[in-house]
This record gives sequence, C-alpha cells and structure tokens, in this order.
Amino acid sequence: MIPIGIPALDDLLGGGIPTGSLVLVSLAPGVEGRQVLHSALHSAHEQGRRCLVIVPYTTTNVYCADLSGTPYALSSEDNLVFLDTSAFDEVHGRRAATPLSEAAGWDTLLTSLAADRGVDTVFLYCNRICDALGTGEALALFADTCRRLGLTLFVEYLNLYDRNHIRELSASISFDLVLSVGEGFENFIFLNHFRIEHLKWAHVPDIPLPFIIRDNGYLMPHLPKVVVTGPVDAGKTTFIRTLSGMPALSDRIGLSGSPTTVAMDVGSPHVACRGFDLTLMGTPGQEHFGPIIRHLLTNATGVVFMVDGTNAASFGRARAILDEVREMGAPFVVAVNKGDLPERVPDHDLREALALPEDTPLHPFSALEMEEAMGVLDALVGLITRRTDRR
Amino acid sequence: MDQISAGVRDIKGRIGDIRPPSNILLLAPPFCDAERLAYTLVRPSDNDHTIVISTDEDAPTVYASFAGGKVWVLDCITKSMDPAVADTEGVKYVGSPADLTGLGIKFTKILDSVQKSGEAEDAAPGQVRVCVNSLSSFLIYTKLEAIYRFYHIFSARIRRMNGIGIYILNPGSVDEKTISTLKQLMTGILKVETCDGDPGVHTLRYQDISGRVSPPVRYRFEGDELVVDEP
Ligand SMILES: Nc1nc2c(ncn2[C@@H]2O[C@H](COP(=O)(O)OP(=O)(O)O)[C@@H](O)[C@H]2O)c(=O)[nH]1
Repeated sequence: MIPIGIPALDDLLGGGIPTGSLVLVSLAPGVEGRQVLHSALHSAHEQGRRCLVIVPYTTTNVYCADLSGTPYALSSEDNLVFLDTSAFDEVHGRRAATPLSEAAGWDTLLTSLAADRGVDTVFLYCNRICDALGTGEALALFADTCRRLGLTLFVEYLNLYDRNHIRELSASISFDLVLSVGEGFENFIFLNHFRIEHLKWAHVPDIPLPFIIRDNGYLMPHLPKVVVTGPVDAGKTTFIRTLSGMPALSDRIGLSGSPTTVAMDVGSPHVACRGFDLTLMGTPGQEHFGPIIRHLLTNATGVVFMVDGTNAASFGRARAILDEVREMGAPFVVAVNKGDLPERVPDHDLREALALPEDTPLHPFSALEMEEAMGVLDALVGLITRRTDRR
Repeated sequence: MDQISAGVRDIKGRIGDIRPPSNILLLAPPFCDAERLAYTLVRPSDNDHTIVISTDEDAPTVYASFAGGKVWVLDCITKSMDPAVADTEGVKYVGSPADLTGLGIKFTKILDSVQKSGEAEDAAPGQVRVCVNSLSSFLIYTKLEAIYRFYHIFSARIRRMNGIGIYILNPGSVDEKTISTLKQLMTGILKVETCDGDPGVHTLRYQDISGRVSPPVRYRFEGDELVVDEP
C-alpha cells in the first residue's frame, strides 16, 4: 500500500493505493492539484520505494526545485531516477521518429529501468507524450507496460477537454483509480475539489471533495461550511471555542439575566478533523433568528445539531430548528450536550420530542471536553464522506 | 480617461475601435518590434493590470519595457537556467513553455492577486490586459490542438473579465492551418509588415471579426512612443 499522503483522501481510499495499481490524476487547467503527485512521490520515496519520475515538460533540477521548500520536498536523491525533457527530446526528437517508434522507445526505457535499477513506482507527467503519441495511445502504453512489469503508476494529466473526456479515457484504459481535480464546488466557486471518477478496490460516494492549499503549499481537504446549530444555551459557543482552542468564556449576563453569547460571536474558526480542514459556523438559537438560521444552513456541508440533554424545556425550540435542518437535507449529527451533568433526560423522551427515529444515533457528550467535542465532529465527517445518497 | 499613448489613440482612430473584451492575434514577422507594439497596446493606465506571459524575454527585460504601472510577468525562460529562482508577488516562473499545467496554475494565481489588489485599493476595477509573447514559442513545444484548447480556455477567461488579450505570432514560423485555427479564438487580427526601404517604419492593418480590414497605418517608435506617419 502506498498512501498518497493526503490523510482524508487516503482514508476514503481505504489507506492509500495498493501496489501495482494504475492511478490517473486529471487536472483542469488553471487549477492547483499538482500536490497529489508530489505528495504520492514524497510518500512512496519515504517508504523506500524506487521511483521513476518522467517529467518531459521540464528539467530534473527545476522539478526538484519546485518541490523543495514545500511539505513534499524529497529527503534524499536515493532511489530516484528522472527522465526529464532531455530524455523526451531523445525519444521524440530522433530523426524519423514515429509514434510507433517512440512508443517502443518508452517501453524499452521503462523495461530496462525496472530490470537494471529496480524501479517499482512510476510518476508520469504525460501531456507531452500524449501530444506526441496521441492521448489514448500514450496512456494505454504506460498502463500496459506498468501492468506487465508489476509497477505502480501515477499519472498527472492536464485535461484540456471536459469531464466526459476523462470518463472515456477511464472506460478505455484499465486504471484502478481515476481522480479528477476541478474548480468550483457547489456554491463555493473559489474552492477547488477532487472527485473520484473511478475506483476499483473500494466503494466511495460520488461526492466532490473540496480542498484548500495552505500557505506552505500543503494540500488539505476542506469542508467549507459546518454549521453548529441548536437552541439558545445548548452549548454551541462552548463547542466551537473548545474545538478551536479559545479559552472558555465566563458568562456575560445580559439585561434579561440570561447569558448573551451568540455562537456567531466566535467567527468562523478552522478546525482540523480526520485530515479535513473544517470551517465551523455557529448560528444563534433564538426564535427571532429563524431566517438567519435558515440562511446559514443553506449549502451547509454538514450540521452539528446540538441540544442541551438536561433541559427538556428547550426541546420544543430544538424540534423547530431540527425540522429546518432536515428540510435542508444536509447530513447532520445529533449532539446531546452537557453529558457531564447528572440530570439527563432519557433518550427515549428526547427522541420523541425531536421526532428522531431509532436509527439516528445520538451523541451524548460535553462541549467542555475537547476529546468529546472532537468525537462529535468526527462522527459528522464520517457521515459526510461515507454518504452515498446525493442531495 | 483612457491613458493609452497618443500613438495608440491614433491607431484606434484609423483602424476602428478595439473595445474590451477583445482577443487579438498580432501577426508579425521577426524584427518588426512586435513586442514593442504589443506592450504599447497593453500598457496599463492607472487602475489597470497588465500581465505579460513571456517565453521570449526574461522578467527584468519585460519590466524595462514598461514605464511603470501594475505589471505582472509570467516568465517562462529564467527558471530553466536558474531553477532555484522563487516566485514573487509580481513575477511567477514556470520551467518552460511546455509546462501548460504550471502556466495555467500561475496565471490563475496572478488573476487572484489582481483581484485582491483591486479589492484592497477599493478603486473602480481597472482593466486586465494580457500579452502572450509568443504563441510561436508555445507551438514549438506543444502541438496545435493542445495549444488551441489551452488558449481557448485562456481567452475565454479574458473575455469573462472584460479584458484585452494580445497574442503575438510569427506567421512565418507556422502553416496556414495553424493561423486559421488560432484565428477562431480571436475577435480581431493585427497584421504587421515591414515597409520597403525604411527598417524603422512598419505597417499595420486590423481585421475585425466581421472580416472588415482597415486601411494600412504606417508607424514607427520614437523612444517608447508609437508615432503614426501621416500618409
Ligand atoms: N456543565 C456543562 N455546561 C456547559 C456545557 N456546554 C456548555 N455549557 C454551559 O452552558 C451555557 C450555554 O453555553 P453556550 O455555549 O453559551 O450556549 P449557546 O447559546 O448554544 O452558544 C454556558 O453557561 C456554558 O458554560 C457542558 O458540556 N457542560
């Protein structure tokens, strides 16, 4: 198994890429996503695999310089073989080169590098070779050769066409995983995303998986809008503060005598969970904020619905909010807060008050405890990434 | 208002208006000062942003051709000689014109910065002007079909931004089919020719999307200024 090195993605794939697999990573023009191959190369190299990197578009020095200073920098030159633009020119620029002779040239190169240098993992930047041989022909050639030699193959392909083009390639060439990287994610037009177009060894939901690139170049899958909602005093603010490492608030008592914290006050902190970067967004709980709650729930990637499990008086309002959540159709978890207190309402009564069927799990927890709060998020992320039904 | 140089205004008067969004193929043989003409056409006025994608000159040379203003450069030649050269706010590098993936990503980055700097200044958004110098070089590394597809997406982005793109191509380096294919991406064609006798004087004609061709305009450069010769 070779982990790609992007934990949330590896998780979806069941740990990574089984050795000997053929992987195609298709990038839309202008969209970052080179990190996928960079990360896989880094990860395979760390595992001590013998890697062949075919980079016809540039020189070995430029390629390595691009990696250095990123989280994917290679730790040594051991176990690495490069075929760069000069190797490409040698195969392609030979007098009387034909697509057929070029194909034979690549096949010979790969075969001898596997035999002589023990190469077991190939990273191919294929566009120039596709340009020379034809896309289908070039990909089939490398797929067949790697299959025959038992090599693991990662291909980066700049897709200048549409998604259908990738589907066609994926149908005609026996890749084990086809991953596309595109721009725009539902209503978040500035977020890029992955999509698993085809996967042989596991079943995953066909959902776009947005990601962000950190300042240091690290690619992190991202859940852009995780909404935390529920009635007043359910513990939403506490939950968000605990998870984002902000100090607990001593209650500010408003004129009415009740605490005036509104979960929106804490902003939209980013929290890491299961390899995802999540943006948490609190909503106020008061009835007169209904339209705002509805607005905030729009396009939520997931919802933490929170209720104070010790306060039966809040269940009516909780039910109204939960109905909104259900209406929106986003995946949600029911977090029953204040589990540290003794006076918890029995589950049965809570289910009845909220009209929750038996098969909807309840997550009793305390928002004061980091680990327990993280457990709630964890359950939500699991729900989002394993969901097979699309909205 | 429009602070383009007097010479360009003169040209515009003679060849018809070039209005954004426009994607213009600049057909010019070598030694015709094609990039000087292109740079003059994309020279930024106050709030404008000019992006030069350069396969033929390094970033400092490109900057030297502009008197100032907001100029961004995507340098496709320096990195192959100096692999460690690092991107800056204004200059991004790709290893070679063969790297269309890297080029697309860095062009997006520049557009993001342009947008951010517009928001930061809170000024009326200026125009984005892009110069590709040159398509001829891209065609050395990549076949026509891929270049066409790439610039199809590229020119559409310029159109959506209501920008202006100027694409330099040496017609002598490519065949008819290449020119006619690339023409499909354009809203107009500027054709530059040398003038018999005087090496400093050139002629240009503009053909718009409807096929209308302007009368020839003779021009030369005096310093950085484009000067139109009266007939
Ligand atoms: N005992 C206990 N108190 C909690 C817990 N979570 C929140 N609280 C308290 O419940 C009150 C309301 O919490 P807050 O986060 O402001 O609720 P919000 O209105 O939903 O944002 C505050 O006094 C919190 O200190 C918990 O897990 N256990």
